[in-house]
Amino acid sequence: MDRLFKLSKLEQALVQLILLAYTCVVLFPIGIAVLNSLKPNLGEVYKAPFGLPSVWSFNNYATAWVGANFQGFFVNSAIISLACVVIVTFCASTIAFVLVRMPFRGSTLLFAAFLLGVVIPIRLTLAPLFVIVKSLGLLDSLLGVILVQSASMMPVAVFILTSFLRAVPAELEDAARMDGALPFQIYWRVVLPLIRPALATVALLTFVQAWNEYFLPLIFLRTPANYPITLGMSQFRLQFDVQWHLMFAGILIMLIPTIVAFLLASRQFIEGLTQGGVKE
Amino acid sequence: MALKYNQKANLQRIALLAPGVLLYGIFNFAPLLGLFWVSLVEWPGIGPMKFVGLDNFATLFGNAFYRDQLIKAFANNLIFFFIIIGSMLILGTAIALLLSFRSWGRNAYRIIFFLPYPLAGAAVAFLLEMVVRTRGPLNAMLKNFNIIEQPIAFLGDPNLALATLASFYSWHRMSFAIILILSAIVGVRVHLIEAAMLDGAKRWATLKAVVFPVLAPAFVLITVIVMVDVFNNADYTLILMGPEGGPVRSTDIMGTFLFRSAFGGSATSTSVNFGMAAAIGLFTALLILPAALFLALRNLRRKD
Amino acid sequence: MSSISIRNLNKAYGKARVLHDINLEIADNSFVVFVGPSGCGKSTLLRTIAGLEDKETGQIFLDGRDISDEAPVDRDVSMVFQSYALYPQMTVRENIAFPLSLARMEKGEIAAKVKGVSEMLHLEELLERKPANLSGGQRQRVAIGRAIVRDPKVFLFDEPLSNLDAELRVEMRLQIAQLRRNLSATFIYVTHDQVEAMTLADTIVVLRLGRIEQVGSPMELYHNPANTFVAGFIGSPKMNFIPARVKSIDGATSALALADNTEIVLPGRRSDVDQKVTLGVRPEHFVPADDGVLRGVVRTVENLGAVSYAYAALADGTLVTVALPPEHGVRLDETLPLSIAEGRGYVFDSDGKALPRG
Repeated sequence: MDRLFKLSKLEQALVQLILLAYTCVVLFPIGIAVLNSLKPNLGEVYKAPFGLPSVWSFNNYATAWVGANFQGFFVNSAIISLACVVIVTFCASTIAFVLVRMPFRGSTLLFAAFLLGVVIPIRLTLAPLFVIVKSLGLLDSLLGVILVQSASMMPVAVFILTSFLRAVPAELEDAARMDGALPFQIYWRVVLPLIRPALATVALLTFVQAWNEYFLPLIFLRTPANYPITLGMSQFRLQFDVQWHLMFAGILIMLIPTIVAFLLASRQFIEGLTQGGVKE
Repeated sequence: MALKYNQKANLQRIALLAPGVLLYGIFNFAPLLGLFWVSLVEWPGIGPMKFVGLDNFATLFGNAFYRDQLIKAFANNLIFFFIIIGSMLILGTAIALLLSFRSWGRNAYRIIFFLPYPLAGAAVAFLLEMVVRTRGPLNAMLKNFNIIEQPIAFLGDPNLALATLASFYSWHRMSFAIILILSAIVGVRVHLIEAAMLDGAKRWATLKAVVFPVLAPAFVLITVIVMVDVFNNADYTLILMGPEGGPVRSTDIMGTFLFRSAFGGSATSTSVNFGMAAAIGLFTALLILPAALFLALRNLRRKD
Repeated sequence: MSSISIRNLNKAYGKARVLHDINLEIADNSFVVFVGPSGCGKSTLLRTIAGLEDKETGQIFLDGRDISDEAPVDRDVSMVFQSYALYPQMTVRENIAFPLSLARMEKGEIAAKVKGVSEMLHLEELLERKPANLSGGQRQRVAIGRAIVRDPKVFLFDEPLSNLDAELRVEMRLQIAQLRRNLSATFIYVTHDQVEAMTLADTIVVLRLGRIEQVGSPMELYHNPANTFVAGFIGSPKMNFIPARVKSIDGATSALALADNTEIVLPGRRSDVDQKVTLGVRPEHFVPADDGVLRGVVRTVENLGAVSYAYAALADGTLVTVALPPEHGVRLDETLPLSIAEGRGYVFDSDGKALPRG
């Protein structure tokens, strides 16, 4: 195996060339953003987009943060994302538990119903969804967005958790049953610890998707005070569009949490992708 | 109230299912079914709903104004799709191959290449839009290296806008293809490779015989997932070009068309009708149904 | 009183039928072993008695009470699992106390019971440890402790020693036998190891493909197997099976002819003349005798120290195992004349069923 994949010095050099080239493609936008976000004024950005800033203006970030009222948006995003994570991990795990360990006559049908949600995205059902949310009085509320986003992530979460649980032997749960534990106790004390890895994956995927969601908040929120950071960016853009250095700073404020999280847990991210491999 | 275990267990089962089923049922599954019903009404979003039967479909396919938009949006969507899938499969395979060799620093590269993926679509859209502006760094660089004289209006030119957006998508999601293809390559059983090598095959021949066939399922999976995503979601277009899909509808795809029919575009565009949006949604759903079914069946089989 | 009565129990997984019309009576306070090859349904039967699996049709009675539809905890049974199934995040003490705390027993009472059980099983030193820090044998004792603490009417064991190494297995087997003497309850024990079955059981139930082949005490099954399957399963090394034909019946004896026309005379009217039968002889019941009718050419000899086994080929090619004392002096390729010990020749008809012996 190794011999096939080992490279001669010449091949290695060629490979490095190509990989470095693509690295540039990937890092170019981010690099440009970082570089220019630290320039003190617009003029410098125009004159020398690739040059170093004359003054390292970290206060651009503060300006952008305050000017665009990022604080409010950040808090909204955090509330929405965290709430989604809690709701989805709890609901999907209880459903996975029942479907795998306590099957009943309609279990396969229920599972199929969830699977349908995996393949038909919620965006298509925009019109009826709007009708439902409106009639429940949840328009323009964080709660409404939380519920809709959670619902949109349930199918993949259920899928990941049922697959994982199926591979776990049921012996510990049998023992708990023999001891007299009721389903909820079995779920809480025996099963949850056993599916920790899958729960972590679901939590991560849900958080990232909730944090990055633009479309659903766009539809269901009206008051800027309720906007998460993705919508807030649009506001910001309207205000600061011409001020490139501030714009870059603002975009990076949005990106940095995700980048940091990613660098800290890159393995989990990549594995989560191949596991949830169906949805982006 | 002394219930026996079995009775309590049954009650708890219902309680365990209830939250998730209700959540999913009300906010995801019911709308799915509701597509059928809402497509039969005319409703501008507020005020009364008017039942119009199949009128929405009739208008969609019969009325030239709508039909033209439908056809244009669909055609654009196809172009969008092919550019993306082409770049992902070709570039993705090339990079995955390079990463599968014992290339120096391949683990670091893998992390770097994956970096765009978890970033928010909105942020990526804004970032890349700034990069490709006529006064932006990309044009500046091209001019510096004397590749062009005048800056290119990547997003301003109706002939280029769609392709530009497609490349945004690719930049954002390329690593998805890379990782999937890479796992397929790495997953090829060592025995097969060793057998081929014992038979005297050189590297390229071995790759062709043993590794490439394994790529087929990965390719299919990527194609299907991208297809489902690209025909339903129009984040980049909506964020950057608005619901009109400008310039002059050159970036109008199914997602924007749907959005526009529900929430309107600019003042001079189509009248707003949620029923029409549902009809478009239903139409798109049926279009991608084969791909969607394939995904579902594959997952069901994987679960066994 | 903890007698069990199983009537007409049937179970299927989808299209595959796993238990066929099982009828079984288990006496109060007896030690019953379900034994059989993999896939015979012994674990399924055990789990159905436990309530972990649902029966399809049939009934299960414990002490006259119909428990067929009850949940496991309401059946007054407890179970020891093959992989111990100890709760990893709980200490030994908490593991043992768990069923009691679920039953909302008073804290003082729980502590007393846990103390009693840990003394019985010599677990006092280990009470604060977690399962990960225990050896296999210790874990098994904790699992047994958890089962005992509930004071059930029936103890169910699902291959509890399979995961232990040979030496430990012997030790644990003795401990289980000791346990049985100390506790008053019915024991139902599942194993594929016939040595465990023979040593622990009052009654053995031999299962094959979802059916009961024979029920009886170990010695009964050894001396009077009902068919070739039971005969071959019980007793190690396996009983030898030699194809034969009934040549003639004369009063109280029958003459069997082997493939090479060697004649063996056995007591009892065995089937009709010219019937195809199978002659069964255990390795320990072959007697080397100069006037022995059977002649086997020795192919291999295995010397184990306390006993030796010679593998000899009969005229028709059938390879038989013969148990020999350690100082046997038998050599390879030698022709060994054998006779069958008194009353130790078993005859089975063409369906494998044992024919009466006189």
